[in-house]
Amino acid sequence: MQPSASNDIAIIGMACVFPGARNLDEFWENLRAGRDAIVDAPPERIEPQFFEHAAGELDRLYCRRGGFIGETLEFDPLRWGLMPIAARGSEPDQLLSLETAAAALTDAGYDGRDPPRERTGVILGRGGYVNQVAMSLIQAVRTAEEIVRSARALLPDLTDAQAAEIKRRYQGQIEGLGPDTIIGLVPNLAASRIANRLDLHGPAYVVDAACASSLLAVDQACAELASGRCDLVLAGGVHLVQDAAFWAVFTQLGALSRSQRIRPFHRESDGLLIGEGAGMMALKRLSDAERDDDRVYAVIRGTGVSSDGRASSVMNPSADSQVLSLERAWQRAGLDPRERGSVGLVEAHGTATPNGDAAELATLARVFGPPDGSPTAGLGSVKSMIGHAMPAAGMAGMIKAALAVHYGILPPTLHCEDPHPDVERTRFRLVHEAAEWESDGPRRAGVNAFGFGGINAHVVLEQHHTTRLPWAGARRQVPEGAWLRLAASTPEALAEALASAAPASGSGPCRLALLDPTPERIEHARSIVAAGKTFRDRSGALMFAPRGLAADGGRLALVFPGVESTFDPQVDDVARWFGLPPLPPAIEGDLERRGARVVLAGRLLHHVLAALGVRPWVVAGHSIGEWTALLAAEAITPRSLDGVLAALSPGTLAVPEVAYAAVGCGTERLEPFLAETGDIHVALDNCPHQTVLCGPAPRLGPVLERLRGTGVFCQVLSFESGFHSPAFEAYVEPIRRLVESLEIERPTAPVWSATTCAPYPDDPAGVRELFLEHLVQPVRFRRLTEALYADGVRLFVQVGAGSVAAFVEDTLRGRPHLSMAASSHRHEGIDQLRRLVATLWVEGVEVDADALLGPAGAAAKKSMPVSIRLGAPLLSIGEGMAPELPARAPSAPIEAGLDLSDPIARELVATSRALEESHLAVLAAWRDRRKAAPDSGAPARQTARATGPRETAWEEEFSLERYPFLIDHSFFSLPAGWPDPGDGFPLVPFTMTLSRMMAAAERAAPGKLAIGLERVVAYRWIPVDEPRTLPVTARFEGESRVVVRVGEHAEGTVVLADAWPEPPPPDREPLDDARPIEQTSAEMYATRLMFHGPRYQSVAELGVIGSDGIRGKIVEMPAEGALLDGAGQLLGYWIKAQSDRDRVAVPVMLERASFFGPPPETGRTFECTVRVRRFGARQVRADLELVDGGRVWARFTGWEDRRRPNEPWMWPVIQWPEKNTLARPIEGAPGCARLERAFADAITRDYFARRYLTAREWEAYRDLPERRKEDWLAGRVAAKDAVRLLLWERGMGPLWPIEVEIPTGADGAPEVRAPGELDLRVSISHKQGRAVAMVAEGVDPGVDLETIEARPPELERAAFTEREREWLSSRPEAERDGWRARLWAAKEAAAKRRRTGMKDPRRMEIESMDEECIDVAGTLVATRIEDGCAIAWTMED
Amino acid sequence: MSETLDVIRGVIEDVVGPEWSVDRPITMETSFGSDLELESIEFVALAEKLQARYEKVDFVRWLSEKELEEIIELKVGDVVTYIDTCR
Repeated sequence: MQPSASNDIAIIGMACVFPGARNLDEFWENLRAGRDAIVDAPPERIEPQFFEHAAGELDRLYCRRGGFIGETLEFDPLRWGLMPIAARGSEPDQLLSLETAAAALTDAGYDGRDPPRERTGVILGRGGYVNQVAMSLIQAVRTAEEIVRSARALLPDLTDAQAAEIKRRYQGQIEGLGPDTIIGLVPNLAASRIANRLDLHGPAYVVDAACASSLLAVDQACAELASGRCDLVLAGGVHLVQDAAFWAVFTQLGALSRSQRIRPFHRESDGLLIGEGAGMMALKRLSDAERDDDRVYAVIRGTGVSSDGRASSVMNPSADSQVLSLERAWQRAGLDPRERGSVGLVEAHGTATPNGDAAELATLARVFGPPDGSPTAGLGSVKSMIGHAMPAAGMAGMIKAALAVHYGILPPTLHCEDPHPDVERTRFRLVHEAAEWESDGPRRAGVNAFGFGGINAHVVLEQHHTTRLPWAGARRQVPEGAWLRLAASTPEALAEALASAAPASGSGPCRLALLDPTPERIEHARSIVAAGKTFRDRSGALMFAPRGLAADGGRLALVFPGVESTFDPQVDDVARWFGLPPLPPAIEGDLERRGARVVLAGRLLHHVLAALGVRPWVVAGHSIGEWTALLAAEAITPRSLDGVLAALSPGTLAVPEVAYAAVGCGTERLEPFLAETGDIHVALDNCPHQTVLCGPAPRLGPVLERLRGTGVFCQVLSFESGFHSPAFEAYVEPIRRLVESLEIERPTAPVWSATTCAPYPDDPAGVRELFLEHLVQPVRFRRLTEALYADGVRLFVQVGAGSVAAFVEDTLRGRPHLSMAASSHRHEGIDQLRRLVATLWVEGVEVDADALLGPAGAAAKKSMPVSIRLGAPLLSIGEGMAPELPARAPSAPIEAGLDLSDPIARELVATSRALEESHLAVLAAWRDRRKAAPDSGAPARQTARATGPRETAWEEEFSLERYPFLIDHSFFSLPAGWPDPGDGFPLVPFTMTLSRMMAAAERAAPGKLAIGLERVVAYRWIPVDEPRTLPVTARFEGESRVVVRVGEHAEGTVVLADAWPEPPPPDREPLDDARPIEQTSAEMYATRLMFHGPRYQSVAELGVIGSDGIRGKIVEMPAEGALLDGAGQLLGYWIKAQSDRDRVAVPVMLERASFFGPPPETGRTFECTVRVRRFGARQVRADLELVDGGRVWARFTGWEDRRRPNEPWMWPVIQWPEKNTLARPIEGAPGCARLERAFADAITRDYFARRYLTAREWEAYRDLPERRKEDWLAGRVAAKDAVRLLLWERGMGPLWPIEVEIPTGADGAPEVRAPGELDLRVSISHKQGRAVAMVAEGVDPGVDLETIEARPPELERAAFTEREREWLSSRPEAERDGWRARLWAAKEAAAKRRRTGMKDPRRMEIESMDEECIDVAGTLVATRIEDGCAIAWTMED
Repeated sequence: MSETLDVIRGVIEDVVGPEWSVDRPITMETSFGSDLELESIEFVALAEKLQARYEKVDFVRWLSEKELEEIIELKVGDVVTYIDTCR
């Protein structure tokens, strides 16, 4: 058989999103590391009740784990010309497919060049399942109707208006469905939208072949390419349908794992777990790809497809038919699968179902033959890490196989400790750990995907052989983190460009580069440009040059570091980004291996800089960096240097008893000492502040001691080598032979020697001689730096990690130059590289900055991603509805209106009774607890007398006077100079309570140290708005435990000891998905994300945040509990980052705390790690650790925060009360504001009462009966907001709610006290926690709110005149309730305006009425129906 | 104390240039390593300048008692305090 090369298809671009991997890089990273992305199903995706008591019912699921790509999908609609609302109403899987398709094109290098649009196709594997928006449509159309029907069946008295309201509320929760978005529900749109948005004109369609869909798409794509119909095809698969209904399918099939694990090819595998995601490949004919210089991940040699025919049932796949698909693919490839070494890896379908695995192993044994004594091939399934992604599964497997072929690494498969016995019958073995892929011929892989119903597909992949630099043509998306770059001819012109809203990139020698161009940073840049002087931020994040060094003719040197750094160069991400093979894994150890790695890293970075267009004037190196320099300039060939490096096996360079030391001064200062001793030599003359000496260890010590005596800083180094010293001469001979074999070429740039401080000689013999000299001569780097400077070099780039740039800096300090590293331990590899490129660009160096930084100018626009919720939550009609329904009317018995012969009704009544009883029981218990509390707290002093020294008690005062710093722990912000600081609700932080408890225990047990806490519960806050004196008791439980109680507020156990315990090792584990926090702690406080005032602003630095916690630095402040409060604030920050609801959280409990040292002094800073253990709807549990200098000082486990309920709409008022309102203006009703929603519960209500009410108003509120509080507060909030809205309209600045007081006047009507001279009057109306208020100037306004409901006839007779009743009955039935409410509201409003009260409503007769206006006895009133209420307000005369 | 801090600020500027980062002043809390991103060479240069300024202060002794990592994590405040205790 001849290879049919003409049919070969190249994979030139790939992209994917799978569980645990947001992109291709992360996916590969996870594959190599064997990361398990399986989790419990997030409650947002599958509600927990579906997992309860699963016993085979259709709607219960026994398996609760799977692979999920997240709770939301970040999508930038504007990038695609979509409105955000349209994006929200689109099927998320379509948006994901679109993004993934675009990313695959970018990965293939089509961001800078146009794809062949006319002949580009899109083929997408996608299942015909009910996706989430389709689900919403079903809910809106069918379920809503079903709910109404059910409600009518249960409640025969339900009025039409109520039924309509139920439906309206139910449907109101479903967002985004409408004419603009509904088209997206047509299933083929998943592919068509890609063609549409990317403007592609080849065929675009969806294929559905169940789990084989992706490979069918690839098979189709290969055919389209082979036939010549297409020149480029995007082929892939997507699956994003994880909800209870979809899981029910596989639950019923029994395909899901009962052990909650997916273990492909395990002896006891018991089923699959479901995953999700999307993958996409850009495919091209191989010949075209080679012509176009594309990067080729792998070549598709053949594809094969077969169906089982009658042979299979859904759960019993047919090995015969699978064999057919494999054989067809290998035949098409022109290869014999049974040949030795034919295949190195099979990425199996591997669903971990017992039947599936057995059939697949039988297939592999038949196609590839039994074990034949040749090395085994790898076998695996990515499903062990991400679950079974259904139609996308084939893509996950194929991308994995293609990357494995490309990088030559066999990625592991998880959870198969005990493989299926049939594995032994094949030529394959499971890959348990990532391993190098050893292969004599080209690396080859097979990929299986077998679909339910008996559809089988196989793909044969092969390594692509090329001699080209592998990244040619391949570019990745610009990394995250926006840069702003501007160029102009003069600083003035640049300042002008910067001042414009959308600065243009411009051109010229005056340049600015700015990382993360926030308005604040741009403002700062502006002042730097205005100063007109060169500015270089040390971290390379903001650079400005009126005229760059290179623009002025300065030359650039690449300087390669040697083995002087303990830091491993960070180049892995750089390699990935440029599509280069990664360095071999870092190896701790001998100098020789580290040296080889430094050379490799230098070469890699040099390749990258060359690819970015950086052309050095000269190259040089430090120590063995000089070898890298020779390589970089192609003065010697890599192959021949490899010989030298290989010869440097461990120990080659070790010269016994030679010690090295770095001393902090220049050689001139050392000369007298060295002249005296004779056998101590300068090995490296680095710079004026560093020289490295070497010599026999016993002789070096005294020299260092004398040097220290003269004030020179000395440090002995851990090298064991005789490099660069005469001591190495004896070792040169064996190397000489190797050096003779070096292949010397003419360099592409001059290589300067640090031995001669001049360019290397031209003749090969001279090069070899100098190469050897270099080993025994000192490195004269300082002189080399000076020599290069004299030659015109002004820009020094350190190509690797290390201190070479610092040496240059030290030598040239004060002279114009740039010295910067391409790799730094301070930043990720690609990040540092970007900083370097930005700096070089600013200095006028020719470099392809666009590639790494994005285009210059404003084009670096901020993307505006929206979060698209994944999963369709269960809907209900909401809490607020219930009171309006007759069944819940408080006076009516539960069974009222129910037909008790109906079993469902009986069940309902029984359930309600049981619920009611349990509520009553809870209430009773709670009341008892409150009664009991004072008994155990207040009489503490008496018990002290009664029980002797085992219990002591005293009183402590908590007040602002005693603890003035507590003003900085006020919950609410106040206007500047506000007379009563108590209005800000200052309270004792939980952490201060802890500290008081520990102090109390130490007081009770003098001489002992409080080293821990156990089970501390904060029952309630200790507010200090007024001074409070609380009893404190300390009761011993044994010798070392004291139970401390602070009034009724808090209780806990303090653990005592004589000495501090030994600390445990600190938690150094990285956080999951850790990313740096962009915000600074100062910004956090300035934006009031935290309420804390200066003395409690103890978060010094926000570090990184991950999915499971946060890290930062916290500092002790001069306020009790501030340090630990900072740890709590970090947790608070994490919570706020999770959700826009229920963001305020307060600590309420602590399981255990341990301290390993005395309390720190003010100013001491700790690294703090917060690990969130549980993130619940109400409770958040975390462990906190404080570390200083590598030592754990304190550790808290089971720290519990309670999240205070608040909804997103409340947040602006919580944060900036002086600029936001809870109530909203009513359109067309001047002066009116309406609080549309009731507070969710009493805690929220009290919280906002504190925010809105002055101390005086709070007293009035506090004394109200509980059931009246809600309405009263709603009215006050609406009134204050109406006043504030009106004053803002008149131009008044920020105004806090407490600056407006709404006292009750003598006649019981509300009045207004507000800043300013205006004569403001107010009217309020409230119903069921909602309210409207109206404010007017100089006249009395009247406003009223009425719910729309059927009224008894008596009421109608009492309220309306005969004429009014006649008019009402002439209205159509459906409108009657609404009009009745409007008329009534109008009368109320008119009466309020007259301040008479409604004595006899019939006297307030209605003269005329229409939609616009109702004339109530001469008072004109406007009315409107909104949200099931009638609102009426008096109109201007 | 603030006088010492001012001197140190000046010396830092000599060594690392006037602008080490955007809009962050050098305070007692500024760390030589994580904030100023000082290389060890620069620290030696800094120590030398301080030594010249404060003859009685034995920086070398003080520093040689510390590990390199400790030195890098030193804060400006640590140096201020040390200088002030020597005088």
